[in-house]
Amino acid sequence: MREDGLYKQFRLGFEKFYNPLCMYANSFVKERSICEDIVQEVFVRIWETRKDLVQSDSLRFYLFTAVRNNCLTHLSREQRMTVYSLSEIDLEDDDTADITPPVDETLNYQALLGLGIEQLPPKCKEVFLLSRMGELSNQQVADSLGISVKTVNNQLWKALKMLRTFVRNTSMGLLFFL
Amino acid sequence: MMVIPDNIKAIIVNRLRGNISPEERKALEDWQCQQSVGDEELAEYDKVWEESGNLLSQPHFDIAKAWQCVDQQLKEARVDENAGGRVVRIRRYWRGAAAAAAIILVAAGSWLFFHQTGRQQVTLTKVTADATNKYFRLPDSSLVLLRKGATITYSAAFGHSDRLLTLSGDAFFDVAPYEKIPFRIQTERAVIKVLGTSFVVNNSVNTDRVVVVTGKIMFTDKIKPENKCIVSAKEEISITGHTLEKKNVSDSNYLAWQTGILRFTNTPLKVVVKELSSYYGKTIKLNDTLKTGSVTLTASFGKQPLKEVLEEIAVITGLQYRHQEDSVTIY
Repeated sequence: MREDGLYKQFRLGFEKFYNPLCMYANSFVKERSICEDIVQEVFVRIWETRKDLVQSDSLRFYLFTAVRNNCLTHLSREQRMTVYSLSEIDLEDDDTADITPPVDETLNYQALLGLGIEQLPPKCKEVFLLSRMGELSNQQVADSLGISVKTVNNQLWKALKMLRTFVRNTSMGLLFFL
Repeated sequence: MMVIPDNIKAIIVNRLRGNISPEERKALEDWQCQQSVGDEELAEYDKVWEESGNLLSQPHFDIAKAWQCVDQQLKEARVDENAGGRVVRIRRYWRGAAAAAAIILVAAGSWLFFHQTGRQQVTLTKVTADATNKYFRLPDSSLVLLRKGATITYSAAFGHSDRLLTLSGDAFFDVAPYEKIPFRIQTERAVIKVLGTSFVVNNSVNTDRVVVVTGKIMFTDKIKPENKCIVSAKEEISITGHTLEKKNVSDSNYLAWQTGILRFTNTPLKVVVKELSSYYGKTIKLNDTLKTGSVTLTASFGKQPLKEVLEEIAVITGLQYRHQEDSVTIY
């Protein structure tokens, strides 16, 4: 394969995944500029050391996993990581864990949803973001996080349920005030 | 609340992902009938799934600009390789906004650099902070705070073909992000390269020292350019002769002259009084029992008068203080 053609493909991959990867990074790392640095560096490293990935099906998987690891490395360096272990996830469906919606929010559904996603418990949020943004399969999410497919399913379900409840409660709260 | 069995959850998730099998669809319908769950509930999950997808795919980051950065970096790497030299993997970081902060302790008298290029007369701009710390903007809109006694020199080309300046003394830089032209600071011994960040610079007789607060810089020995090092946040590097020494930052208050903020984290009291003394220019002492004691302090003071700081220490530690002529003793 010509280097030029491959580079074009690399660029397409970059354009496709840059935004979702930054947003994923942003769910760990608050500073947007650092998120961008991390994502850019992952791409640079792929081109320099793993060109073979550019055309491979596992590019998506590799990208999200690499960004995650780099974010965690960054956080541990910054020493403000709240450590949680994904392997210790309780498989119980926790019905009491509904998130409390703030009252004075816009009715806009997406905005509400965004708020809800923000408030998901960390592990639950990550599974949801990976599935939704990375469009990774349950198996890939499981591999990436080192947890079981069953756990992925449960967390995904939990996220869906919490978001639905959140959006509902918040809208109703607002209607009451209107 | 109704409990949904795991297999049904899995099916609903598969359905959202659009890869539900006919058997699963059947199983789901059966379950719906059995539990009298309407389609509306499922539709709500659809909506959550769908809308979150839309929400998350909205562009929040500048992809074009980011690509420029990556493209540029890869090009540079290729040039390095073609130049044949030993390929040193340099991790470069870009910053959208202000990010890195560094203190560089620089030996004086090195602005002759511009004359060494051997070209004709170069117009130099020289800025010196004589009596007090001095704020000013460079032509590229980077902000500089020079500490009293420091001097900065740059040519008319600054901001056009390069962003190179020479410094002696202490200074703080808030570098305007502009990826195409790297920002470089020249000292007697070293070149410090930054890309769109902020950092501080000071001065000593035989050592250059850089403390990076956030972000990253590249530090290169001027005489032996193969002597170089990437310095990350909370690390510092010093060069003495041709020896580079990198370590973690131990002194958290190196920026105090600029920020006015003193921060202590489990800091032994004798270190605290030392830093307070140098910051406030007033001798602060401990009585003999405290000198050997193990009292530590965790607190942060921002531009407060010394009196307030002492009060606060007294409250935190349960100690007292008294003024004696021109010094203060904590006991």
